[in-house]
Amino acid sequence: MQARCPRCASVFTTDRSGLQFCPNCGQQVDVPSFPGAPPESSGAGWGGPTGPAGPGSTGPGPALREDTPWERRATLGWFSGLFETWKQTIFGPQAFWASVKPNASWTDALFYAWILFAVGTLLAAPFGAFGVGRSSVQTLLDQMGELPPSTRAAIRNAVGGMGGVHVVSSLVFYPVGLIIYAAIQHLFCMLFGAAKNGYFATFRVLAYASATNIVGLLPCLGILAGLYGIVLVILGLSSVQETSLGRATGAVLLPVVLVCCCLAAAVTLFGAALAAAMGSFQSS
Amino acid sequence: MTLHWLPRTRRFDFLQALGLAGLLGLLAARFLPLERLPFLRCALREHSGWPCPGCGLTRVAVRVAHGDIAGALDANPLGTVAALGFAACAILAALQLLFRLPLPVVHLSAQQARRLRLAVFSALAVNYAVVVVRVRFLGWP
Repeated sequence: MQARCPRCASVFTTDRSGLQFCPNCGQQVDVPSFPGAPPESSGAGWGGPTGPAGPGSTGPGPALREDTPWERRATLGWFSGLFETWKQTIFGPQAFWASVKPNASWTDALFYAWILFAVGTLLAAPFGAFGVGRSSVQTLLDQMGELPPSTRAAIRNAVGGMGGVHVVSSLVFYPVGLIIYAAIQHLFCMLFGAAKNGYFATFRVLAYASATNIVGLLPCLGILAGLYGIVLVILGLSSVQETSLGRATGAVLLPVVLVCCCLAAAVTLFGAALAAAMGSFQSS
Repeated sequence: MTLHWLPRTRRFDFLQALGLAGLLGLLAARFLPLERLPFLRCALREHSGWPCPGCGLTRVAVRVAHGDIAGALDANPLGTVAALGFAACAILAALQLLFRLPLPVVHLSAQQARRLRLAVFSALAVNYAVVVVRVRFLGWP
């Protein structure tokens, strides 16, 4: 059968339906099924609208890719769409990711993540206003030695989260940060062969996985929410990029190992110190 | 390997996102005192003496942003290549957006993609070995 690319308008011949790349411009094209057509390619992972689950992929079985509740907010209503998407992401991630389209609007996903970030930032702002973290900021500045007064003030405002400037600037720059985060993450996806559906599929996963921003506000749940966020990204990349869980895990954890193993070392040292303290407590 | 040229239209895609990352990263490294931020020091190296694979990346960004390529290569060779790649992406993305530059799309076969990934992983391993030897046995800062 013949299909037409929506981007370059070239017509190409294919023998299967489903998601595939235009041989002319590289655009991802969703070729509709036709009578007698063979099923989509059997890569590792979800094949697409009617595709089977591949080995190592997430999800309970064949799934129908559809717009998320947030992307159907015109019919569901804004709050309902937002809440349903958040609930599905947090409480039923496997079913949710299995239903997410890799090539739907990335701006909708960005808007969703931006709203959650704004809610989280506004709810967290009073903690900064009441002076939580002021002493840690001062300790930080003391460690940095001689700095121009303007730089010290900028760091105090930025790191301490005190004042509206921090809130407004973080809200304004959040989309840029998410775009950059997705670009770096997609590089690692390419490195692990987990980038089948392109950059914006990775972007959509990171945007919808930011649902943990709200959970992270609850006291003592910040670290757990961060870890759960990593799990959500791994499950999401596995499903939306149609790859195995191993590749998705590698793509998510390698940047952590490469750049943040210092953090891992700090956590290890903290754990060792805690264990030593507990040992001395038990022996006393 | 096959090569296709994208049509001459302005677009925001992966290259432009990488270019944005490169532009903002190099601007931050040029104008902010990144090397003095205490939380950017390597805890692994400070406590064990062994560098992590990302050791030297802050210095790479600062030195590349100041045009000191040789100094950046001293800090972390592969990090320097990555920083220059980000800078190249920033320039290419700007040119593409300004002049609707047609850009090539490279399609690799499965075997070629596998070989390329193997080469990148090997480069990461060799780079880390170089950083370890320099820091542990040659006493580099």
